[in-house]
Amino acid sequence: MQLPWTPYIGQGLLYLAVIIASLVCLVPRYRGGLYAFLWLTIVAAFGWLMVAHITSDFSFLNVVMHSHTQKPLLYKISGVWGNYEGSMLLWVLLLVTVGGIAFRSHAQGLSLVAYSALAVLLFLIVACNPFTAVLIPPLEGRDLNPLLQDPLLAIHPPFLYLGIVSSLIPLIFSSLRQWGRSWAYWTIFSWTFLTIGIVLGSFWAYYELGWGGWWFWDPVENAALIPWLLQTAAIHSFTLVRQGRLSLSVPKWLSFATFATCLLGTFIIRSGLVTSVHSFAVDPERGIFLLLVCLVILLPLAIRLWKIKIDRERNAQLSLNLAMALKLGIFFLCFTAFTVAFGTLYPLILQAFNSQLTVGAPYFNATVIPIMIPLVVLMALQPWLTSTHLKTQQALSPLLIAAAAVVLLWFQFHMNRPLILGGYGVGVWLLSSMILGVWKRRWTRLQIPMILAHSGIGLAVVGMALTLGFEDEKLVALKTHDTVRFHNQNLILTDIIGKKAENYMGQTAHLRLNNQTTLKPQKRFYWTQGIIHQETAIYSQGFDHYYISMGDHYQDGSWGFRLAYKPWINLMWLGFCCLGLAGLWSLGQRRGQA
Amino acid sequence: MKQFFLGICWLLATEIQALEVHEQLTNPAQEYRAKKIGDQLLCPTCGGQALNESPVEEAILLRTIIREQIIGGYSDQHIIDWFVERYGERILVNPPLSITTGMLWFLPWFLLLLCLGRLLYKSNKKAL
Repeated sequence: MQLPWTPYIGQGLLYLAVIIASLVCLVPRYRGGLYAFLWLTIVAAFGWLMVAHITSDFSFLNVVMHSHTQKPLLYKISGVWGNYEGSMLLWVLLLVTVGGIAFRSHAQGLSLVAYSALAVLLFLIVACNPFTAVLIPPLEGRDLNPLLQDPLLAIHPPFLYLGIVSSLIPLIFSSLRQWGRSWAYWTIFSWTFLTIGIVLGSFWAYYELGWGGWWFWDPVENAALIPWLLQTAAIHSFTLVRQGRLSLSVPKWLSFATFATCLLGTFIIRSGLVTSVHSFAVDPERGIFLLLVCLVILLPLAIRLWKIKIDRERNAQLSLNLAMALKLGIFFLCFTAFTVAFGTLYPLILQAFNSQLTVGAPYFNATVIPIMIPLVVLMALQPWLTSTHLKTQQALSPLLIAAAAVVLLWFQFHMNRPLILGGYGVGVWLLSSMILGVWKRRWTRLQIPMILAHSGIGLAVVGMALTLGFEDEKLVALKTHDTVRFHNQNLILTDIIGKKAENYMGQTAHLRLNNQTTLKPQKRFYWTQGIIHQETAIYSQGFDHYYISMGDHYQDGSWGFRLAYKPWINLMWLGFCCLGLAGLWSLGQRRGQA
Repeated sequence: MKQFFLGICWLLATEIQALEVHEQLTNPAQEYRAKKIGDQLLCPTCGGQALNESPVEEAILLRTIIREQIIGGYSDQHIIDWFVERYGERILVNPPLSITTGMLWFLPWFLLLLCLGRLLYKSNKKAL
C-alpha cells in the first residue's frame, strides 16, 4: 500500500519556515533576503494547503474534516481558512506579508515581525498542524459547515485578519521609537480593515443566521470590537501627540493594548475557555499553548515599550476645547473597550471561583450604550470646538434640531423607550452637526475621511435606534396561494419549487410581494453533512427591509415563515459603509507613507 | 397534548431556526405570556443566547415546557421559579442582585466615576 506523502511536503515547508524565521531573528546579515525567503516558504505552504483543498486530497486531515468533493470551487478555496488550523496559517501569511511591506527598508522591524511569526509557526506545528496526515485516506470528506458556505464569509476572515495582524506594525514602530507618518498610516490601515471585517461579519450574521440580528455581543464579536475601539482611540491620539498636547505614552500603550487584545482575542476565544455561539473551531486542550504564545510574543514588546522613557505632556487647563474633547473621547473609547472586555471575561473569572453566570446582550446593551452616548455627543460638538473654546452659539442649533426630532419621535410616533430616544437624539444631533459644519465650511479637503467617518457613526446610530424601536416580526404558516398582510405589504405564496445543487437539495419558496417582486427564501438540506440550513430573502425598499426566512414543513402541506420588518436598517448599513470608505479614503490620501 | 409531543418528535429529527410557527399557542394572550417568559430566560446550552432565539433542541423543548405549563394554568412567576430550581440563576437573563452580579453591573460605573473624579481633582490642584 502506498502511504500518502503530500501532507509531509506541507509539514516540511512549515519546519523550513521555522528555521528561516529564527535565522531572520538571529543573523543580522542578509536579513532582507532571508525574510523574502521566509515569505516565499509560507506562501508555498499556504498554496500547498489550498491545492490540497481544491483537488480534495483526503490524505490531509484538514481536508477530510472540512471539505467534500461535491463542494463548489469557491467554498473549496474559502474552506482553507474556514477552519482553525487553516485560518492560523492565513494569519501568519498575512502577518509576514504586511510586515514585509511595512518594514521593507527596516531590518530591525523585520526581525521583530519574524519573531512573532516564529512563535505562531511553532504553535502551528505543535498544537494545530494544518498538514496532519491521515494514514488511510478516506474516499470522501465531511463538508464545510453550511453556515460558512457563503460568499461573504469567504472574504470576511481575510479582511478581519488583515486588520488584526497589521495592528502589530504600529506596535513595532512604537517599540522602535518611531511615531511618525508610518505609525499613523499603519494604525489607520489596521483600523480600516478591522472595520471592514467586522461589518462584513455582522452583515453575514444578519442575512445568514435567519432571525435578523446583526450584533449578538458574542465573545467572538467582542474580541474584534475591543481592538477596534482601541484602534479608534489610537488614531485620535495621533493629532494630539503631534501638537504636543498629549504624552507619547498614550499612543505607545494604545498600540500595545490593541495588538494584545487582537492576539488574546484570536487565541483565547478559540481556545474554548469562553462559551460562544461561533464555536465552530474550539479545542480546549490548546488553551495553555495559546496563552504561552501570547506571552512569548507580547512580553518582549512590552519590555521594549517599558524601557522607552517619555516626558510628561504640558498639561493644559480644564476647559472644553478640541484637545480636551479628544482626550475625553480617547478616555471613553478605552473605557468602553474595558467594559466590553470585562463583561466578556467575567464569566471566566467567576468560573475560577466555582460560580456560574452568563453575561449576555442585556448587560452589554445596558452598560456599553450609555457609555457610548457621551462619545457621540463629543463628536457632535467637534465642529464647534476650536483649540481654545467651544462656540456655544453655533453649537446650539444642531442640539435644537435633535431635541425637535426626539420630541417628534416621542409624541408623534409614541416611542417611549429612553435608550432608543437617547440614541436617536444624539445620532440626529451628530448628523445635523456634521451637515451644518460642512455647510459653514469648517473643514478642508484633508478632513474628508473624518467627516465621512463621523457622519457614518451618526447614520448608523440613528439607523440602529429606529430599527430597534420599530422592528416587528410575525410567524405564519402558509399553504400555496395563501395571502398574508404584513406592514401594508401583501405577500402571496405562489409556489414551492424543489432545487438540486452540487452539495445540497433545497426547497425554494416563491413569495410574491405586492404583485411586483418575488422573494425566494430557501431551505436547504446539505446531504454531505446531514444539516438543514435556511437562506433568507430580504426585500429592500427605501431604507426598510422586509426579511423572510423559511421554517418547517407541516403535515397539512403548509410551510412556516418568519416575516420581519426592519425599518431604517439600510441607514445603519450605509453608515457602516461610510466608516469603511473613510478608512480607505484616508489610506489613499496617505499613500506613499506606508 | 398528543400533538405537542408529535410536534417535538418531528422537530428533533431536523435542525431548525428559532421559535417556529407550530410552537405557538393558539390563544394569543397565552402566547404573549409564553414569549414574555421566554424573553426572561437564556438557552442553557448555547451561552448567552435568549431562549426564544435559540435553535437548539433543548431550547425548543424548554419553550414547549413553558407553553405546557401555561396551559396547565401555572402563573408566570411559578414557571420561572421552576426553571431557576432546575438550572440555577444562570438561566435568567436578569439574575437577581448578588455579590457576583453586583460586581458585574456596578464595577464599570464605579471605575468610571473614580477616573473622572481623579481627573477633576488633578486639574483643580493644578489650577490652584
